[in-house]
Amino acid sequence: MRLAWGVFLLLPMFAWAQPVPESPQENTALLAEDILAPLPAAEQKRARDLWVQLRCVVCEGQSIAQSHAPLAADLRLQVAQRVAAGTTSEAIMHDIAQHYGDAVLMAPPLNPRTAFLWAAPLLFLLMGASLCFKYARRKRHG
Amino acid sequence: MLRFAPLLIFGMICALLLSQLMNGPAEPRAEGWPVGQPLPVVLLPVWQPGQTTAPSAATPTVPMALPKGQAYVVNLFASWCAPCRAELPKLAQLRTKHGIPIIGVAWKDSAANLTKLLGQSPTSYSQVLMDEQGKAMTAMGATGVPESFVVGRDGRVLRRFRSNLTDADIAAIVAALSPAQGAK
Repeated sequence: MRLAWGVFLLLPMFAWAQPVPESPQENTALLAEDILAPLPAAEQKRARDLWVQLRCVVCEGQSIAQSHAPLAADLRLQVAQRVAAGTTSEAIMHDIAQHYGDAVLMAPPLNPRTAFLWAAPLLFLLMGASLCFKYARRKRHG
Repeated sequence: MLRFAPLLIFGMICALLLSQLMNGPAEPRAEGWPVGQPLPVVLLPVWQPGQTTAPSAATPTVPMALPKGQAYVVNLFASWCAPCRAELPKLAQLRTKHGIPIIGVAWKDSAANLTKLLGQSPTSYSQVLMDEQGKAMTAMGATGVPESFVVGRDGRVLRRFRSNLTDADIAAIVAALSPAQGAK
């Protein structure tokens, strides 16, 4: 009983899990890095943050910040150039999503099609909680 | 009643997943961007037949397009890509037999390798542009080569082929662009 509660209460700890640190590979990022180098630190950070939010469309589960793929290098360069040109982050993300579909966004947008995807973790947590409660109650009465 | 709640929820999830499976993807992968849109504007340096040196920053760039009123095909390719090389005779057929201009866009390619592949007078392309930085690739939403885009007389993209062209594709392109069909 106590163990069941303990395990359940520890579950939210997974929410604090940190993703693997993402750093671009030097060999493929050279061009994009050249564009970023003369920019102010805040703009450099803006470009790098966008890289982390864009999925590499030819690799599995990597952002373009992590990927070695030539196409990812091209997208990094394009993001860097548009950041350097002063384009807003929203416009950059919108254009790339328009060309490659929502699948290119690391965080899928919340809409009717993705509602279940976003609600599923909470739903499964609630289902787990109800199971724990039932198990605990049965133990007490049994 | 509460006893059956988990079973009910499980059944609901199964029904949801099953219905999604049966309906297939909401966005068919078949064509998509930029079909129906004006061809994205991209400026690229030209590869001159016989050229063996890389274009420099000073090399003038031209738009990856033909004037309105002319239908054509944009073909993303590379000399290092085997399916692209295999596709060249089909493109030549489109161009010489059916008179459809073809703009070739070479992705991450060297001028020397293009010259080795296409020679002094390429039969497959009316013009070849060089896309070292993937400008055309990302503007077209392409994930690889080869890809082909059919552009109508009004400058809009009519069809997109995400793979190497088959004989059926060639026939479809000719049909889409034939004046008898009242193509745009």
